[in-house]
Amino acid sequence: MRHLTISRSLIAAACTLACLASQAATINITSRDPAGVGFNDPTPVTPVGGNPGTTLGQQRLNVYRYVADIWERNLQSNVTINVSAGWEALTCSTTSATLGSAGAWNIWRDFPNAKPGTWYPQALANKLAGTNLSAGQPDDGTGYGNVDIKTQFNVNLGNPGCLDGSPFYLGLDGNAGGKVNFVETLLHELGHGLGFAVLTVQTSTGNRLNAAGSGYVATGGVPSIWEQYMYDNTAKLTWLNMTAAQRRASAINPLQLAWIGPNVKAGAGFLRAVPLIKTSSPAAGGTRNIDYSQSAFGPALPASGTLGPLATITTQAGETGPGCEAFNADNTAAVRGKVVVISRGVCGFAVKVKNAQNAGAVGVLLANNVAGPIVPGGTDPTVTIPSAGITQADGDALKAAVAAALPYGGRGKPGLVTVSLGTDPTRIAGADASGNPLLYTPNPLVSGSSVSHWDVTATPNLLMEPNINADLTTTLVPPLDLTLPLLKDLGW
Amino acid sequence: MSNPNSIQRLLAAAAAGLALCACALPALAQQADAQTVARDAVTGQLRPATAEEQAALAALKAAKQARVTPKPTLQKFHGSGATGVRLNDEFLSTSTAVRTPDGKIEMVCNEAHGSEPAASHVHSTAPVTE
Repeated sequence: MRHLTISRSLIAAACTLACLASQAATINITSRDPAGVGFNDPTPVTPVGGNPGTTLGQQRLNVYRYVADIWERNLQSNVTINVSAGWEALTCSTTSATLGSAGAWNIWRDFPNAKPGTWYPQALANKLAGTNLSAGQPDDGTGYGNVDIKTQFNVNLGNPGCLDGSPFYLGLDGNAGGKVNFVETLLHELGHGLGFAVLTVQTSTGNRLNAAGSGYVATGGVPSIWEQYMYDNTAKLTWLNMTAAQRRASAINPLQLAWIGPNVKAGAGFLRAVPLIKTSSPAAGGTRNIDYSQSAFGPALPASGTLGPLATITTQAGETGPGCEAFNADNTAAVRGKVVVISRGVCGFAVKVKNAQNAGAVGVLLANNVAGPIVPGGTDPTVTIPSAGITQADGDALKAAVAAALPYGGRGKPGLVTVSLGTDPTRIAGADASGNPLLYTPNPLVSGSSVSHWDVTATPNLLMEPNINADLTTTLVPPLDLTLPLLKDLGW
Repeated sequence: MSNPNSIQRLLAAAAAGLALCACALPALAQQADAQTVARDAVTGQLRPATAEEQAALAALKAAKQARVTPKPTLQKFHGSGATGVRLNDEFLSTSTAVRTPDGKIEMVCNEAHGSEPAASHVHSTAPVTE
């Protein structure tokens, strides 16, 4: 019977796929370094953080092997994954450095078991095809033209003139201190090489790589395997069904581009609710829930509990801007032991917070002076009170609430607005209203493609956010991370 | 007989397309390596390279040694009918680190940019400071 034949074919195909996928992955690392350099650096070193190597080169190789082993434990493929690795003199200055780069070095389309007309990174393509598609291909003269992933990292990091004094930390225990955690950096970058990247879409234009792989085109290009799961909540379309212009707009549509793959959706339940500042007041309109952005300096706001009563300041004689000078007696009396609202403008956020701290405030809410949210930046290691950015509208409302509460006091004590911290159980940080985790789509798009990372609002921090945060682990699955679920959505 | 080393360096200078501008020429470095020469764009004559020119050549040489990757992508085909492409460094993701004034190290991954010219830029994740 035809029906039975089809069913048997489907079962056979499913079995084939299952059998192909049953073997743990094997990752080979091949060095491009010449004698005495990089992996071959004979400089004696002391074993560190579980890395037993006694030369710099050996420790570097040990980290590569350690990270490759993590990926091997998480992925299945019967085709060996080949990584070409080198240590090179990359861009540096005294205070900044290119750490390294990595990515898929070959891509394929229209191979057995592929979604037709779709670009895949080679490691995934090989897994799905059940064979090394580059096997037998002539090399391009480099010696590594057929590898799955190419990586290079900065051989000079930590030396004078190259992020001085902050080399890669080659321990395996995460205790990087003031050094650059190489385990997390490499784990992240290999994730891109294995497929955590839209890869073949130029997001500044929305154009796709053409069928020959020789250039980007506005129409007629070949979609990436990523695009089916990239859903824009504004356009109500996936990137697969967008024009180039729509993809370009979606790439800079903040907090609106979601990943709708089933594995990620199923595993995203551990993402936490959106944190809120909550105010309570005896006066009407003073009880509010407010979104905020933690300042980049000073201690973090607590996740819950009462922070203190709210206060405002008045314009001081001769001041250059709100909170920009040491507080006078009236403002000092107003903010002592309280959380003070200070408007943005004229001087740095850290200056305002430090002045408030010196006057005895216990926290600062920095209100924008234009529409939209702000993330207060700056640095001052002497700031010891928490602060956060809020919108101009929320700042104005809080200032009004402080004034409105005054008559509600008693026995010579004015009425107060109280500030506490909590969460919004109806909203998930780093996910859309449907619970789909968000991709990173900042506006303006400064650096070209940004969508191949999770949004930075996800809590807890995820390995594949653009920032390589200090609190990351080497776990790639829920309830700590979503890297592996996304790769599984692609076919891993 | 010319020193082979001189010839190599001369060829390197020519290959690098080193263009010299009379109006911007710095004084020749006192300790200029006499083995390295450049062709003056104004006079057309060979002369010892300035320190800046030597540094530029050294950087080019280092870059060439570090990145031997050919720029164009390379198409390939498989017997199954599949089509592949060997990519290039422009498709790689790049991670950077910056030391902030308070001594912290901030690390950011910048994604692949395809053929965009602004490949070395950094995400706008840095918050405003005032």
